Amino acid sequence: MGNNSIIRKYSEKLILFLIYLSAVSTVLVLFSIVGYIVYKGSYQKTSSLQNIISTDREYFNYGDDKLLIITNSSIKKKSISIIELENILSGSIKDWSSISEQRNKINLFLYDNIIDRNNYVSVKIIRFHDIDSLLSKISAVEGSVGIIPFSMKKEIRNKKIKILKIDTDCIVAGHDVVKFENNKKLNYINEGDLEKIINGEIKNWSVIGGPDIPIQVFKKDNIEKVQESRGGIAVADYRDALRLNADIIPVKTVKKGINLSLSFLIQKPAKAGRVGGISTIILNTFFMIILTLLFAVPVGLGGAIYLTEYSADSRYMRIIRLGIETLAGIPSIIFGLFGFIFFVDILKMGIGLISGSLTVTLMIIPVIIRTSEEALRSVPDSYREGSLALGAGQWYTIKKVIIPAARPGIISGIILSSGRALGETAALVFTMGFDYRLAKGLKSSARVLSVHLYQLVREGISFERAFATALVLLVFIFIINITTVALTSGYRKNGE
Amino acid sequence: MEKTIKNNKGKGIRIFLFLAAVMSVIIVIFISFFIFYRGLPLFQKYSFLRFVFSSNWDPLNLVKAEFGILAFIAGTFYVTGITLIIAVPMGIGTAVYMAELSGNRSAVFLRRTVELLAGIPSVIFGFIGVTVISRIIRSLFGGSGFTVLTAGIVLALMILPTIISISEVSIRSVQSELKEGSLALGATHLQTILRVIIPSSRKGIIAGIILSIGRAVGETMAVLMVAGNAPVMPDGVLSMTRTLTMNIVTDMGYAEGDHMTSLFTTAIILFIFIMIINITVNLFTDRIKNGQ
Repeated sequence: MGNNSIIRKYSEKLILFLIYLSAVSTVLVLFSIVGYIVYKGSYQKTSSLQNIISTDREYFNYGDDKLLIITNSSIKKKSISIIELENILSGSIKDWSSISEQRNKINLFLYDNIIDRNNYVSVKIIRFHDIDSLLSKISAVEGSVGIIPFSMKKEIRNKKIKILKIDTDCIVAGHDVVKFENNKKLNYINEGDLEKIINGEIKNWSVIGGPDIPIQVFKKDNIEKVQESRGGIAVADYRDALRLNADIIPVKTVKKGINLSLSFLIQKPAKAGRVGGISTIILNTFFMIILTLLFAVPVGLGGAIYLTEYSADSRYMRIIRLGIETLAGIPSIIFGLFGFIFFVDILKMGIGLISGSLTVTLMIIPVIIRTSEEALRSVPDSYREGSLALGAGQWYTIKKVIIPAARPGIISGIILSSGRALGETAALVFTMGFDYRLAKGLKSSARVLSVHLYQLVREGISFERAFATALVLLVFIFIINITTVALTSGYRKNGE
Repeated sequence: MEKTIKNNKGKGIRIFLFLAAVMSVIIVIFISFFIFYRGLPLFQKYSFLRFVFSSNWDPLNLVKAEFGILAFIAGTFYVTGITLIIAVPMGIGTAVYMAELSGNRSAVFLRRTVELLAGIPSVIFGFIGVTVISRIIRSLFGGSGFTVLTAGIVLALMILPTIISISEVSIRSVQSELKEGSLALGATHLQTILRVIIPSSRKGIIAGIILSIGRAVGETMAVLMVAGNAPVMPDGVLSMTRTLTMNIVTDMGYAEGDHMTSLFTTAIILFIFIMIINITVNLFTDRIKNGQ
C-alpha cells in the first residue's frame, strides 16, 4: 500500500515533468531556429583554405622583368593572387565578379612587349608602346587592368589609377611533413600558427597536428633544400613551387564580419547568386504576392460573404465546405504539377510570374475564405438587423456595415495568406522558374526569396548567402506575424 | 424600372458571390481531373500492380523502363512514422500544459510561439535540417547525415504547431462539469487530465494527428533537402530515402514521355492518400460536431 502510493507519486511527478518538458522544448525549438538564423544571417565567420598567402607586395617577377599591376580606381579590390592574375591573362577570368564583388568587365592593357607569350591568344590584350597613352586609357576605362614595368611607377600621377598589390607566395614543406601517417595527414596550417612557426614559437609539427618531427625554418625560395630536409618549411614563390613539384601546404584563413549587409539588400544578384545581392529577388517576391492577392482576395472574400450572409441555400453548403477543406489539404507539389500542366502548358502562359501567382492563388483561397468568414461571423447580428430595419438592401448592408465592421479581421487574414505565399517553394519551382533578374512582364520567369534560398543550398553556392537570405525571409515572416497579431487583438478589444 | 435594375444588380452580385464560394469545389475537381488525365495513361503500358508493388525505379532505361514506386511509398510511411513518434507526445504534452497547467500569460506566450513556428516556411526548416540536424545525425551515427531520421525530425518540427493548436482547442472544449466532477470525487488534477480530459477530447486530438499526417505526407521542400533522395528501399532509420513528393519534384525538371507521365501517376497515388486522410478528418470533425 505504502509502496504503491510512492510509485504513484513518482509516476505523477514523471508525467508532469514530461508535460513541462514538451512545452519547454516547443519554445526552445522555435527560439533555437530563429536564433540560429539571426546569428548566422547577421554574423559570418568563414574559413577558407588557400595555397597563396597574403604578402601584399607591390611588384612581381616575370622572367627577368619586375612588373607592376595597376587598375582603374573604380576597382575596390586591394590585392590579387598570382593564380587570379594567370587566369586573367589566360582569359578564363573575363570580369571582376569571380574575384571581387564588382561586375565590371576586365580590359587588359600591357606595356610594350612585357609578358610576351604565345599561349595568351584566347584573350584580347591591347599593347601600348607609350606609357602616357596607356595610363590615360586605364584612368578612362572602368575595370581595366594594366601591367607595366616597376621602374615606371613614378609615371603614375593620375588619381584615377591605383596600384594593385599581388600575392605570389605559398608555403612549402618537406615531404615527411605532409605524408600520411597513422591514417592522418597535415592538411593545412592555421594562419595564426604559421606566424608562430616562422617566429620559432612552435618547434614541433606535432603541436599543430602533424608528425612528431622538429620544425626547421628555411629562408625564402630554398625549395630544393626544404624538400630534402626533415621537417623543413619555407615561404616560396608559388610558380617555382609548382615547377619543382614541391609539397605545398594550404593556409587556413578565417574571415569574420557582418553577413547581411545593406549592399546585399540593394545590389542585383549575378552568377546564380554567387555575387551581388538579392534586390531583384525581393522585388519579384513582392510582385508575386501582389498579383496573387489581386486574384485571391475577390474570390476568397466573395466566397466568405456568400457562406456567411447568403447561407439560405444550405444544400450546397456541405459540398462547398468539403471543397474548401479538401483544397486546403492538397499538398503544394500537387498544385505545382497542376499549375505546370494547366497554366504553363494548356493555357500557354509559360513559366513565369502569372503562372506562379495563379498557382499560389489556388493555394491561399481557402485561407482567405476561412479567416474572412470568421471575421464576418463575429460581426453581431444586431448590425445586420439594424441596417435592414433602416431600409437598406442586403448588398448595401454588407458593403456599408458588415465589411467595415469586419475589416481588421479580413485584413489580418489577407496578411496571413500573403505569409503563406511568401514561404511557398514547391508550387513555384516549375511554374515561376529560377530567373533572378527583375521580372520584365507577366510572362517572364522570376525567382522569389524561398526559391533562391533553396537554389543556394541545393547548388551548394554559398551557405553564408543562404543564411542572409533566410534571415530576410524570416524578418518578413515576423513582420507579417506581428501585424496579424496586432490587428486581431485590436479587433477583439473593439468587439468586446 | 429602377427596381428591376436594382434587382438585376443584386442578382449579379449574388451569382458572383456564389461562384466565388463554389470556386474551391471547381478547383478541386479541375486539379483531380488533370492529375488523373495526365497520370492514368501509364497503366496502358505498365501494370498498376507493378507500379505500386515493385520497388524497381529505372525510368530512363532505354531497353525496358521500370516505374515501381513501392520504395517511395515505403519512404513516405517511414518518414511519417518517425515524425509522429516525435511530434505526437511533444504536441499533446504542450497542448495539455497550455490548456490545463499554465497560467494565462504563459499560455498566450506559447500560443504566439506556436503561431510563429507555424508561419516559418518549409524551405527554412529544410535549411535548418541541412545545416544543423543532418550534422548532428552525422556526428552521432556517421554516414551522410541525410536519413529517414533527419527527415522525420525536420517534419516533426513542422507539424508540431498543427497538433498543438488542434489538441489545445479540443482539450479546452471539454465541459467543465466533467472536470469538476472528477475533482470532486477526489481525483488529483493530473489524474483528471489523464483519465477524464484527454479521453473525452480524444476525437479532436486524433483529428489533429490525422490532419498533420496529411501535412507530413504532402511536404516536399523540407524533406527533399534532408532525406538523401536515394531511389531505393529504405532499410532502417539511418538509410537514405525518397518519398512520393520528392520523386515528383526531383525528375520534373527534365522528364519526358512515359517518365513524365509516371510522375503524374505518382501524384495520383499521393492524391489518393491525401484524399483518404482528408475524408477521415472530415468524418471525425463531423462526428465531434454531431456529438455536441
